[in-house]
Amino acid sequence: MGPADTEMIRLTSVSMSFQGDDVGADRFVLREVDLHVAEGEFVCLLGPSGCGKSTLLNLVAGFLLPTSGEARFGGRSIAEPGPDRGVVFQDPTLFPWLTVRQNVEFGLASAGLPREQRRARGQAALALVGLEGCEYKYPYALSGGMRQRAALARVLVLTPRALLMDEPFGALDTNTRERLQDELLRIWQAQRRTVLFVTHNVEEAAYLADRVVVMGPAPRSIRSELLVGVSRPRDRLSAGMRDVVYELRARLDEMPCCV
Amino acid sequence: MKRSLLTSFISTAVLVGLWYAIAMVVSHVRGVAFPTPWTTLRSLVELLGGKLLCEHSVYRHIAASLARWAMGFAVAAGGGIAYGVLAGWLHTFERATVPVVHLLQLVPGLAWIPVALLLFGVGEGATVFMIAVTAFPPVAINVLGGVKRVDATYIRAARMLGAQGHILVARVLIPGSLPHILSGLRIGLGNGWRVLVAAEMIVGTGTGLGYSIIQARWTLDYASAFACVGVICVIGLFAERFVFASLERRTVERWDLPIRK
Repeated sequence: MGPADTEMIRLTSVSMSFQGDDVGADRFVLREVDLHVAEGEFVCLLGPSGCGKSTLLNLVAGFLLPTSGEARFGGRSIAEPGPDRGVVFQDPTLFPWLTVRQNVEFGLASAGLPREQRRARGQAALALVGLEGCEYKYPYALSGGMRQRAALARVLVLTPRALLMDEPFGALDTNTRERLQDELLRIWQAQRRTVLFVTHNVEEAAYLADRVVVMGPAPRSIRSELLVGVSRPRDRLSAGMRDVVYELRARLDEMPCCV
Repeated sequence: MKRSLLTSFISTAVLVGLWYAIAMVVSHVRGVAFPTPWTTLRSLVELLGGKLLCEHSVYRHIAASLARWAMGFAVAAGGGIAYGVLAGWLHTFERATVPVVHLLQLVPGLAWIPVALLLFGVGEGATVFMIAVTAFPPVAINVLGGVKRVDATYIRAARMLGAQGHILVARVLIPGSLPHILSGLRIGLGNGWRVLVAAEMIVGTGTGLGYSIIQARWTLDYASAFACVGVICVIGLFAERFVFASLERRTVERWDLPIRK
């Protein structure tokens, strides 16, 4: 994957500021960010809490509009959220009033798809994430890991062009997190979607990404990039993986603590 | 279970005892026949047995009152939910209209009589209007509050999944604010039922529990009037306990949403 590939996401000198409360000075969360993600690429945004990773993701999702600069997706300026960019949040945000099946079929129903097709596609998505047998459960009855599987199925069923994932496994225990990382990679390799994945976990970024974008607090939002050259499937304990983790840790250590 | 049975027995006994005492004192001191629990119960049994009250059976009165209540409440519920969703979504509209709704809530039921008469004249329209206008504010205010408190991430998620307009309203905003909607409807239902007596003062057709109570002033059949009050209380309690409790069990509790008590 190189910059010559088809462009999927491009941010051009994007800044994002929120109104300052006391002195009236605006507080910049992102400043002059340039980012490019190629089609099919798996990019992790790595950085300490509060450095604007999630804000950047929300800009690509269309939940926020940049204060200045331009955010493009698939060559078009991003104006609002849409099913071509499937977002998986840190909290699964499944609708508690819908069963797992209704949650997964929500986007298809919103698009006006007839029931039969909804069923078939929803069932396939549930099978893909290993949630058969939970169709009629309500979200509260699922474990954290199962909720994230359902949240993933809910966007995969819409065959989005990109997956935007905001620390999706951050609240899970190590074992569940690593299982879900593997499943995500399996799905990604089978379907080759573009993935933009926010995390503050160094091992996670190293294990998942083709390329890691290291972020820090504004005004220098994007600090550096690292191409992860380790071939797939990767072994978490391999020497190559360990080198990547050390390198990323070293780069994070240079940064002040963001508050 | 046993404990709650005991407490409800005690509270009933206290109520009946107090009522008896008041009836005795009033009868002796003022020399008027204040209906006792016993005479009221007897009169209720007679009414339920088919004795006519204001030329109609008590069932006819109950049916007439329920029909008016249902109509007024349906108007209030529909209008209140529609208003709440709209105002919860459009902040300018909310700021412009919410003081009016708060003001409506402060108007006592009886004060609507002249307004109802001017708008609809004597008749069913005026009665239904009075029930609707007193049931509307609590529904509207609670739905509005509920819609505003729907977690923003649910709305983001829904929009990301392609939901817009009526789908967003029907599948996210309304179920997301259901605990508030239900408590609004519950209060509205009670308000509408409580204003029944005032509303039926201007009904003109000669039926209804509220109408019968007012007529007792002229017929001096206070025991029947008390019996009608009892019927109103029981019906209101039933709606509250069974209809709403089961609605909550089947929705909010099943989804494990926080319930506002």
